[in-house]
Amino acid sequence: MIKGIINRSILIGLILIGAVLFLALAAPWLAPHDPQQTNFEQRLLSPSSEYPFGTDHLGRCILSRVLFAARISLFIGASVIGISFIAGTMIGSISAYAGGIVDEIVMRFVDGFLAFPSMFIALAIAGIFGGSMTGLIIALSIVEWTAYARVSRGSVLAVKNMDYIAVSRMMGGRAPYILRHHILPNITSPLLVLSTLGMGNVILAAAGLSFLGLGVSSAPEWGMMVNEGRLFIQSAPHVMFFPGIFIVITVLGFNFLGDGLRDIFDPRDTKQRWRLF
Amino acid sequence: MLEVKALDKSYSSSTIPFRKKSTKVLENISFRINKHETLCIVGESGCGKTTLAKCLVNLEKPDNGRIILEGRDVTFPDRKTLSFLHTKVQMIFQNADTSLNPRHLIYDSLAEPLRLQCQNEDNVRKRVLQLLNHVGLSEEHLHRYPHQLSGGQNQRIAIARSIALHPDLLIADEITAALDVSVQAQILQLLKTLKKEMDMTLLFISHDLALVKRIADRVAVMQEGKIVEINDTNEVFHNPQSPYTKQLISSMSKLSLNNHDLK
Amino acid sequence: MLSIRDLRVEFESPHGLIMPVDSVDMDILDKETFTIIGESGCGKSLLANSLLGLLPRDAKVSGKVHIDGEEILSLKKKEWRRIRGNKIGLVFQNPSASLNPVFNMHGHLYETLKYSNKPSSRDKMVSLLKKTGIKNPLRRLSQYPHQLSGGMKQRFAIALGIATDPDILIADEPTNGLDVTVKLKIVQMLSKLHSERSILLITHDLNVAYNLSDKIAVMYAGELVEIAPVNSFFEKPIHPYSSQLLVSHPEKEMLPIPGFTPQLTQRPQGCRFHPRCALASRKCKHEHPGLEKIEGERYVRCFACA
Repeated sequence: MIKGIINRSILIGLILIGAVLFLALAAPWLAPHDPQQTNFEQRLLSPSSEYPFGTDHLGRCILSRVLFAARISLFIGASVIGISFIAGTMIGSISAYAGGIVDEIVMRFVDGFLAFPSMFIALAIAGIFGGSMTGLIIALSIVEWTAYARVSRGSVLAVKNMDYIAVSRMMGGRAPYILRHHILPNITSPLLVLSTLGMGNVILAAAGLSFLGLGVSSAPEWGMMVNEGRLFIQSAPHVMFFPGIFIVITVLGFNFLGDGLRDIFDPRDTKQRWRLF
Repeated sequence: MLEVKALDKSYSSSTIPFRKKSTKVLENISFRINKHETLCIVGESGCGKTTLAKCLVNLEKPDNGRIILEGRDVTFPDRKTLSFLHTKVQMIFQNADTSLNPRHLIYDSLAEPLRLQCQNEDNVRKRVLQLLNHVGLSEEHLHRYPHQLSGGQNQRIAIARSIALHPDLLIADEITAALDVSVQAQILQLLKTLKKEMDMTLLFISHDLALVKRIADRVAVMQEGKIVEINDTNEVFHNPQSPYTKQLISSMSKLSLNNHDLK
Repeated sequence: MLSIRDLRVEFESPHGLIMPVDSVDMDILDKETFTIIGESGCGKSLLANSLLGLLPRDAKVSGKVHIDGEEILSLKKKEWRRIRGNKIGLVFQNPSASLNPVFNMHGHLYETLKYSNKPSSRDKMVSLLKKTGIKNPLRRLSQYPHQLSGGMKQRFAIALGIATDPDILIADEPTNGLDVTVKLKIVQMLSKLHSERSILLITHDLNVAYNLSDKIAVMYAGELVEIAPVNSFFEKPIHPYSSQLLVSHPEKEMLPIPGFTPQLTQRPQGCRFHPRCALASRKCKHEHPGLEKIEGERYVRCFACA
């Protein structure tokens, strides 16, 4: 069963994500130095056996910082996706199920959000909160939930008019029961794909905001590290390179996984053609 | 047992207020269904017969008119009346593939009406097996998904589910339209047996006149949202009154297996 | 005209090799309407598609199909183009889905005619529409599929099928989903086209088969189980499945056939119909009957009746 389902994209995605996740979880044991320890004697050192990724402009070990930053990035990604998934799906599916004027109002509200470039809104909100992790998460969630609302609304509209919903109503099923038993299970696949692909985007956006100085300031973060390395791109490119490559690997992993999942859930998949006979 | 008085229903094609274009789908529909009979509604696609059926089980709301079930007005039911309606009247849909949730096991589909009535899981299991037996399927089908069964088998499941709560009136909307003739014969034989065993009344909706002729006690002919003729089956087929009925019957007999004209 | 010998269509499936169409032998004569009747899943549509080279890529087709003496199954992709349209025309099963919504009638006809290098004059189009009973043909040419009723779309689909004047027309369920009055008109129209060319009609509708065919072939679980001239078939079907099928029709006794059609992966040994057959003997359980000729032009695949 499982063997037939897993395709190459999913495999690559899982390996990349698994690796990053492992490094993040094992950071305290893997990191050779304290990520916050400054040492002005040893600024901007190139990679060596003592500092495998080199040191930054304050003499901090880049490897240790990158490993600890993985925790922050993944945490931000997971919480933003979690919040947006729950809020967006609830709002979207209730709006579609209720229909009529409720649906109109909610969807115009969502359109309002989509009318602005998402980075612009995130910037504004993160700015209000100043540089903090909570601020970052709130800002990105506010941008992200609209996608889930739209996708879940579309899926619910497609499922809503199925006869089995009518049958359930006829048997005495009420709205919450029908949403839980019939509608949600039928709309999870596109949302799952969306959230995996979204994870990459969120990590990228978080790095972007940090890069602009609106992210987490107390702990290492990939985007912030890239920003710090910007000044030394000529003299010490490794300062920027290592956090950058970790961003790329993580985002790539989630995109591979999302693509693979989408292939599986696509009804036009050739493997599913057997249902026609 | 059920009486429908002057039912009207129209759909509006736009959600923008003041610019509504409405199309009448049901116009002044009145008829009654007597206990234990089989009333057939015949009409071509788009004549409003499905909408009418949905009005009877409160899946659509009529604009005007009254629906009276055993002396009780169920046109615009409150919560209590609604559960009264649901225990008395159930409907089976044309397409079993869409009336069963593709992600639910057959067992869960059959158990749904019982669970909604808050029966305990032991009773649910017993009743599901009983229902399955009723419609001629075996236990091996319980742990499959709808797409693993044939159209005829799925329709049996849908029938089993509809009788789970012992309804008095069963509405069957084109339930054999998507099936082959031999399967259609199976399903109708099943329906006939169940009707007798459970003492039900049947409202059968179809476009197939040959089929209607075979199973109906009385026939109502619908055209563009109106009932143009309602009478005993024999009368309708041998002495049709409205021009539309005459046209339908002549088309049917020209295509009939006993006719040689076209050759 | 068209002769099919030992045609098989096979697929590799997760449950092993399946054979939705199994050793079909049949001949369609010039200007004959040959109808395959059978229930859903018996393989009749797949059979039709294999004659057009329109099967999914992973299908394995074997056997021989000759049109006017030319073998077509071994043809290359490019050569198929010459066959489709010129030799074989197709009326699609579901015109609402097979007509392109952004093309009007003129566009559809133009494309079809151009594709097989036929002159695409307006006069030719008008005469095609007239022939299929479409009134007001000049005005209709500029209309789009959504402006046509179901019956009209079906007529137009037939017009497209005969546009290139093929020797044989394959009509797959041409009356599916039509109301009885419309169905009658389509059947009347098809019976007028009847004398012009060979038609291979695929249907599950016994009324349509009865009224249009010269010959009937009954398909069950991938095989033809009976081939007979239409009148003698409807008077006295020989194969137990054929006679039971007829009896289950509402105009007859409407008695069901017991049991279920076997699934592709679980076909019974021996005769495929034996678990549902009243005449089944021990032989039927173990040996697979061949399609045997009995009286005149009738062929039956049955030990009990041959």
